[in-house]
Amino acid sequence: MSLRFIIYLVIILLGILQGVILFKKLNPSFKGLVILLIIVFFSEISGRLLILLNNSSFPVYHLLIPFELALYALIYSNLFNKHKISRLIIIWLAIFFATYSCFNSLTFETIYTFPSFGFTLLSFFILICVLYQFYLMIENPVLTSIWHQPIFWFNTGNLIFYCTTFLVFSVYNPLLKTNQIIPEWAFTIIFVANIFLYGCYFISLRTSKFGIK
Amino acid sequence: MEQFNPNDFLTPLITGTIVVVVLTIFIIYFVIIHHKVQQKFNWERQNFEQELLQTKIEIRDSTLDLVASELHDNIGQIAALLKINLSMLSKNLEGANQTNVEDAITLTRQMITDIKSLSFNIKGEKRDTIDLIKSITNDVERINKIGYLSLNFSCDSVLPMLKQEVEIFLYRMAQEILNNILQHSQATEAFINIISQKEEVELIFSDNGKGFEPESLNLLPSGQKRFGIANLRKRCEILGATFNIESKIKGGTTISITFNSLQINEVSLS
Repeated sequence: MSLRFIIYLVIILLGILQGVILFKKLNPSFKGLVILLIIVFFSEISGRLLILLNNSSFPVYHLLIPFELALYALIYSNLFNKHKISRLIIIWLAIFFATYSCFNSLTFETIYTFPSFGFTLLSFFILICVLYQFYLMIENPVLTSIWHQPIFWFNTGNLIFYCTTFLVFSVYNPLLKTNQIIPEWAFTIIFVANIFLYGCYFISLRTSKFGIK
Repeated sequence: MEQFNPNDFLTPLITGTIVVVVLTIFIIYFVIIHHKVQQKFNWERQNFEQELLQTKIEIRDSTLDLVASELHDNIGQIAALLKINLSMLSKNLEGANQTNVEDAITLTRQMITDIKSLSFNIKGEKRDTIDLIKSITNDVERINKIGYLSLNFSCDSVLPMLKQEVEIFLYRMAQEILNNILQHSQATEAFINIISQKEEVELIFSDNGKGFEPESLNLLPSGQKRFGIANLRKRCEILGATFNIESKIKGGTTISITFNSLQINEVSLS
């Protein structure tokens, strides 16, 4: 196990611990986030085990994408609970993307191929939600400082991470096709983006005690 | 097998850099915009609360005005007629009956005086102009006359000039604090000190009453909310004054309101 992977797991674990401590006080969106973190944590460990057994962790990611889409849809539909139409659009878009991602896993990018198309769909879905959430934050301001608003941290983490991975994963398969080793910078970018994302989730769960969803 | 082409990496690298820069600018821009929107929202909310408070004061004043007018013009007149009727009746009576009616006339006269006094006091509550020191002195005298507690008032220097609306606002706060002392403190002695040094003014209200736990600052022993204190705090916030309250069980309570007269005169309360 590399040091990077251990740091990555520790950050996720910190987020989970923070979430579990505050779980009863969290609103449904952030309860969903805690569940998402738990799923990601176990999927990462299963991915490592699969590498040992099968030499590939990709099947885990194929399974993870529909789950992530469902959980992000749950989180954002709760955050948009005052906007029924947006909520419906988010749910149907998630269903459509999850179905398409499963179809992609069965046809174009099979389970032993990295699901870059699935991740691109997930990134696209989340970016739509993030930008809409930012718009809602401007439209419906609250008195709490932005640094104490969990939704700001949650969305900032998502925006940075998914924009970055949107790029990296979209070139992941073309890079593999050239039979070249994925360059180190790609892994470094993904690692930094992951740390930033789960760090933001941790802050988001920590600031949720200020009582703003 | 496809050939490795360095240009395949250059494009995502440049695009990635652009995306990261754009994202950073976007987030900074978002934070700035959000901050501005938040400030505007806060300003609107404060304005709304100020207007709400002003409306409450106006409603209270108009109600007091109505009650005072009713007391003076209606009940006072009825009592006066009653006195006249009783006087006429007493002329036709003799002995014990006449004495009884004379007693009733005396009571009615007392009642008319009380009604007039009450009407005058209520009218006095609704003020357009006020002298803060004089009004507090009057209240202190009135409370001391009742004899429920010994209230001492001291003002060691001349207060800086304050706007009429600010003086009324401060007087209402002083009344609220005095009411709290009378109703809840069970104090035998209380002090009001007004200290001013140049533009800095401090109003201190202290009593030797039962006090309360600082944790229960917002709740009465019955579990009800202490609206009085919350109201005082809100009023201080509107004025830009500093509100401080210290209390301990059996150790009395001290409330201080500190403000700068120059700053407070700039606050619009109308």
